[in-house]
Amino acid sequence: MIQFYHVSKIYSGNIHALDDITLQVNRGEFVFLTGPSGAGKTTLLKLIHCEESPTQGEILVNGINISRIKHSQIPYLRRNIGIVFQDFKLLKDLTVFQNVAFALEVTGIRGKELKRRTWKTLRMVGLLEKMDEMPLKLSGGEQQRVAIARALVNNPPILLADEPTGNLDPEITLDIINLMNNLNAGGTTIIVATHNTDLVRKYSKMVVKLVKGRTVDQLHPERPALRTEVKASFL
Amino acid sequence: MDFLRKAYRDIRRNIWINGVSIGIIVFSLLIFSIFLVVLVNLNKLMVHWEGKIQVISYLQDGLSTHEVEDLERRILDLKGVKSIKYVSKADATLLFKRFFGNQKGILEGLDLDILPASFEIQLKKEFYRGRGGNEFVKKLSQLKGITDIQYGREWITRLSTIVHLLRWGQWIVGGILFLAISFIISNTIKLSIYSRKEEIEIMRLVGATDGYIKIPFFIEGFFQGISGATLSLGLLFFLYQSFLLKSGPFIKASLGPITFSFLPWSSIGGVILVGISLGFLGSSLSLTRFLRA
Repeated sequence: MIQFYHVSKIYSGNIHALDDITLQVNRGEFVFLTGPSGAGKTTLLKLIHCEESPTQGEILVNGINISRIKHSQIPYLRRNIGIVFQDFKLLKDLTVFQNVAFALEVTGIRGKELKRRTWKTLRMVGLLEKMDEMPLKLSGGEQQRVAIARALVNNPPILLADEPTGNLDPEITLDIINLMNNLNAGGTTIIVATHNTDLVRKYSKMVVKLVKGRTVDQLHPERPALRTEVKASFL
Repeated sequence: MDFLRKAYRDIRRNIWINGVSIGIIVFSLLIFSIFLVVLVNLNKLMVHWEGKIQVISYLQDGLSTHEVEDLERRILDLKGVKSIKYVSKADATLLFKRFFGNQKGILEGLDLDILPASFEIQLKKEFYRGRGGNEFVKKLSQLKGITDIQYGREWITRLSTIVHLLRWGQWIVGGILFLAISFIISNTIKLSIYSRKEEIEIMRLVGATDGYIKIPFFIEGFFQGISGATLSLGLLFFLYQSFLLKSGPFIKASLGPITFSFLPWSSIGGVILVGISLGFLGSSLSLTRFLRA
């Protein structure tokens, strides 16, 4: 589903954010992208989401080579990739419903279809009864649920999350990750960038660890021996 | 509808900036259209005067009818003649008397036989401007039997130069105003963009096309341009009605038989089109910069 072949990203000023990354994420996989701050986690997500283009290497998403994608094609690719952030990025002057429906509106969906899909997604994240509230009246966990609903309302096969629980307390963090886990069980491929090692330990998921722009290890849940080793050496 | 709603919301959100921007457009386009009105009327005046101008060639005394006819034929053979009229000595005397009709006393004791016969030649339009007219007069003066030539081209040339300069001035002033206005609109739109920065960022994240993001801003620019242009034309018409038409006698004296007119429909359409394109140019200037960033 997502493949990186020798991808490097160098920002101006010769800053090597990513260095020769080769990576494969299969359909329906749940991946934790870990590593210290500045390791390149956000850059990696930005590359998948076409907010940045790689300096070197090729990236395939759903079989499309996005390292050579035309500027005009990027929006259509993004409709297949939901994204959530640590700071939620909700519009404060729109209600919960409007924030979620916003992602459908930009794709040209209107009327009954828009309402039906927004309601369905809000129900899925457990916020249907709060759909008329303004985001700032909600708790942090609820705000992140709205952001997840917005990322999912277009039924994207991929969900990217950049430190989605960075602003949330541990209980709510589990709540959010459980929600993502459920989505993953429904078939959505999920990549969560986090430096929360406790979180990574709790779930038996694929882990990609980045340090200074390089993958220092890729660990699969079906190889538990390695996971123990990871716990010892990296986490 | 969605786009219109968004544009309307943005305009309301930045009502003051939009107001100031429209005000500046009104003022700038007003200057431009005042130039246009003056030019339109000067042009009209010039066309009128050009039609009146003729070359009068005085004939030597004592030419026979045959010689006069021969001369007329040769003048007609010259390039640029639209029409020719022979004024005999008797006709000239008659005209002179008619001219001084009320003051016959002046003419008493004058020997009117001294008035020469002449040809009044009307030139084709294109011969009034440029070298054609001079060449015609030069060739005419070489013809035998012609003693003197009167030709009012010089001041037509002068007027035409003034109109020409004004026309250039109009484009130079127009060009500067055009740039200035598109800069102003682009800045207003930029403020609008910044007030919606977050929303645009999220739009892009969830897969909005550039077109979807741009259209409300184009509508905003369009609104500024068209309302600026319409208001400036309205103001110009008000000035025309209340000031120019009321100072009628003065204008009439300087324009002669020409009535001072407002802009023709084509120019009105032109000013509105300029306004609209300014709006589009202004908004696309700031949008392109923002979306590529």
